[in-house]
Amino acid sequence: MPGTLGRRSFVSSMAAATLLSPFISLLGPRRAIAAGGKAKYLLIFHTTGTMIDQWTPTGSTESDIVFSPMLEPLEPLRDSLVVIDELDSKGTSDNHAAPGGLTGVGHSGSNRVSLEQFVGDKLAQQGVSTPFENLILGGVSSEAQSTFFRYSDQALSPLFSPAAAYETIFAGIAGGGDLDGEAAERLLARRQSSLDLITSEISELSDQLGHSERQKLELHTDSIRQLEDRLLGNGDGPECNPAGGVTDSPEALVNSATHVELAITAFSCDLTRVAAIEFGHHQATQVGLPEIGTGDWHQFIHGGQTEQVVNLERWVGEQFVAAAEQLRSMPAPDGDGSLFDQTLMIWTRGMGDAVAHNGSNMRFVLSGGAGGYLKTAPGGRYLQGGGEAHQRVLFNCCEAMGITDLEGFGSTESDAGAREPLSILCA
Amino acid sequence: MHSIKLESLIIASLPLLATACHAGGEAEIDDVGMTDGETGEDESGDGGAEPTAPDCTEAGPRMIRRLSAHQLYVTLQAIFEDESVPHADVLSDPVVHGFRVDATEALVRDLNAQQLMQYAESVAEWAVANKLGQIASCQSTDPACRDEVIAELGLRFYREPLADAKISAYAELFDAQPTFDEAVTVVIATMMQSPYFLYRRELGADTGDEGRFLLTDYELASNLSYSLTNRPPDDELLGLAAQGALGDPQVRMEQFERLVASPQGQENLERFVRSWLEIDDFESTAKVEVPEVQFTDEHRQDMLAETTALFLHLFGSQGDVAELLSANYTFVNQNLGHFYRLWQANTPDPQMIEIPAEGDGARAPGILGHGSILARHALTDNSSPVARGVLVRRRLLCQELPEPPAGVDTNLQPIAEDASNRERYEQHSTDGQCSGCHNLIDPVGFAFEHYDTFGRYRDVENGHPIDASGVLAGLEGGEQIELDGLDSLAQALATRPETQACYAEYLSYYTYGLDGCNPEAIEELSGGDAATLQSTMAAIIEAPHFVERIAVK
Repeated sequence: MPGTLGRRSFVSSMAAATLLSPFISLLGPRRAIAAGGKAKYLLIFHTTGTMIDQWTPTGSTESDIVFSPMLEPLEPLRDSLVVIDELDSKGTSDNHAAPGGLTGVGHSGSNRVSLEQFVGDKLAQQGVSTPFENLILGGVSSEAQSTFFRYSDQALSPLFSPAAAYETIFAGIAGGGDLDGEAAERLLARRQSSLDLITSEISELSDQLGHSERQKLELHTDSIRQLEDRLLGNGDGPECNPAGGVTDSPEALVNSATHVELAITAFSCDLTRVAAIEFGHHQATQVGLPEIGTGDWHQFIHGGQTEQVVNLERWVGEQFVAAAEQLRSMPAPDGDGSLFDQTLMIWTRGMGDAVAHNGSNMRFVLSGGAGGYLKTAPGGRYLQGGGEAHQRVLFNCCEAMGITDLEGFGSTESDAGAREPLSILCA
Repeated sequence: MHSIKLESLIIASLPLLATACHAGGEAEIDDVGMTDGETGEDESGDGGAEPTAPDCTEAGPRMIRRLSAHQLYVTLQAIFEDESVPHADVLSDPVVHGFRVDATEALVRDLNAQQLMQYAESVAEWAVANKLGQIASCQSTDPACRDEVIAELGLRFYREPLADAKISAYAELFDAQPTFDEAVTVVIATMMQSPYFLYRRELGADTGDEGRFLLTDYELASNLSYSLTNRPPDDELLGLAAQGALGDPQVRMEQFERLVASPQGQENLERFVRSWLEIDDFESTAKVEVPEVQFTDEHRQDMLAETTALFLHLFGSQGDVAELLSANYTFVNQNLGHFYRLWQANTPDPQMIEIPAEGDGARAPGILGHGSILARHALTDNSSPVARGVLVRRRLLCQELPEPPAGVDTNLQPIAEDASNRERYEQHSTDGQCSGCHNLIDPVGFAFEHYDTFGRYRDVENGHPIDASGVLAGLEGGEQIELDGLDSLAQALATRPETQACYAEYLSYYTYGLDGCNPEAIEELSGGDAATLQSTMAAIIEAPHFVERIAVK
């Protein structure tokens, strides 16, 4: 990738819908449970549920993790690792395509928003201006939809192709390379004229349509508005020189691993603060990697192919560790320590017990320096949630990112206590 | 799909079944690889895919529909008459009901505008470098040439002539550029991001009659072309539109026949069949490797070709759904024929071969006996009565099935190692929680048991002689049909009116990208009992929804 991208200051552009989340009351500043610190970056790994008995680190304590074979690859992160299970999704994550894992809202809810969208929006509201409010990446090519939602019942489509993601994140606004000032200005003017013409055509079409069809075009217009904000940003931040040659693999899981690298590189230039990468798909992931085996992840789970499931989750765990190492190797854009120090890493799931399609035993793996937010132990921390709402941990993630003016995350109406973050996670 | 539901037995007791259904093994209901559209948006109440059209027998609302990713690329290839136009992944098509055609959910949002801009700029640069002579009949910046070039490009990208005001808007953009090449580059890049390029319009012209609109000739040309061939209208359609001829149903029918018979029309039908029968991802479906079975990528491709060949043959020869299910012939080349032990197959391309009633190569008639269906709807290492039963219920009878309930261990409990596959699955019917759902699914799937995970015929499984007896229950009218093997299931389904109605329902969804087409109305339009594969599609194209629109708020 030729050229240099700089940090841009952008006008925060919030879609109207952003302000309309039905389940979260925006109250005045609330007491933050954690006084420990604040992360600047949020990196989410998302997978389907697991085989509980293989996953559980039996014998672990709050100050020492005894790794199960499935979790063992996480060992190098021990001193920054917080592992928590026995959390209840409150009926929101009980089957394939159930949306609760990252939204905390089930099929019966509406206007869902997943964690990465919500955090990205709130940061923008707080004045954080990056070219991308969030990035959603990964999944499988045969399924265009994911478990990411944005104030809608319709799932979002992540960027599946690493090559396309690379183009979008790093090459998109540079205009194809080393343009001198005058050429860059001409290009910008040309693009603006084009977009003006296109926007006027959209409104001309919109005038002829009913409400639901107009909504399609409103999303289109909003997409153009986001693009214009990126184009108008000025480059005066850290240089961004991502390694080129990004290609797509026939293996969906390998593509997701590539996306993690791209997301971290985007962090390093402050192109975004939030990235969520979906590994595979809850039902349609073909695997052909020697370290894992050949077959279908879904069938590994339901066919009792324990060895392959363990191998697969070990492989994802290795990517989690590799991500931590990459974060450690990069200085934070603001110069304060490494990117790792400022990042909250979290491995979330769409179900708890995948064998039984059950969301009553959800789990998270958390790591990263998280700006000092997480309470850690040299031997690692293993916590049991005692059936508390998994939505509380989603709230913790918001809080770690400095978002505290919430009254709970997701649908936790049944239980007022479920509307608080879990203090046991916090330093 | 919504409009045909499993008889009251299931619907009435759905909540009960949802808690009482203890599925087994990897073979819970969803192991057939149902898509999000099936499991998420619809049955699970995930919203989003609700139709905006009330019924295809009535006029629909004025609407737009975004080109699919495939259509977008094919459209560029057609515009530049060049298959080597640059390609980029810039749009994704949500999978709904197993198809990537949904009119409601295909959007331009979030990062798409940026992706489209980048892609449009690269295509425009490529076009000006390589195609200028072809797309610009003159090459100067004088106003006459400028307007001519804009009008020519506009007709290609907008699929209708540009109004004067649009030509002026583009002329302004053009005039701001220093050279002709740069001007054309900007015009192309902008047109490629225009909503008139990205969306098919179904707006219509006001008839003056209570908010009723009739699609314009150019809209009809686009809709016929994209619906039937996935491509932009060709010169013939644009010519007819220019003459104002497409308002005539007779002319439309002539075009229908021309388009479905064209190579692109046949390819469009292949896409339908592969999605309808959920075999589209068969080439990447994992299979166990065993030394005694040579099962190659070529076998998979030949199996898919077999299924599309039978469908296209019947579509083109007034065949019907019944024959699709019961044809005693098939289309195989030597490679697949020998895999099936049809030794007389000896050509590299598929040829029509009669299926013997017994001996080598004997197998079930129609599509259910095809390797594509049998191997795709199976597990990696064995058949799956559940996957196959669900295929019949959902894709051939259009019946809804609930997902397995949460919190139930869906893995089969281990039983004796020498048990038959059937015995393992029979846990479903002896478990009180399972039987409600699985007594409708598994006894259909058991009829497939003579066919292994590769679609090969077998008489013995794990040391046990095959028991392929079963029952087809849950039919309209409460009838139950006893089954013994796949032949009996194929014949039973071929006689059921539900299968024709179900085909019509999926085909109308595929054509319109909308739910809500009334299958009875389609059946009537397509000739009732005499409906054929082709007349059903003709009826969908003739239906009021195809030509009329109503203004909605």
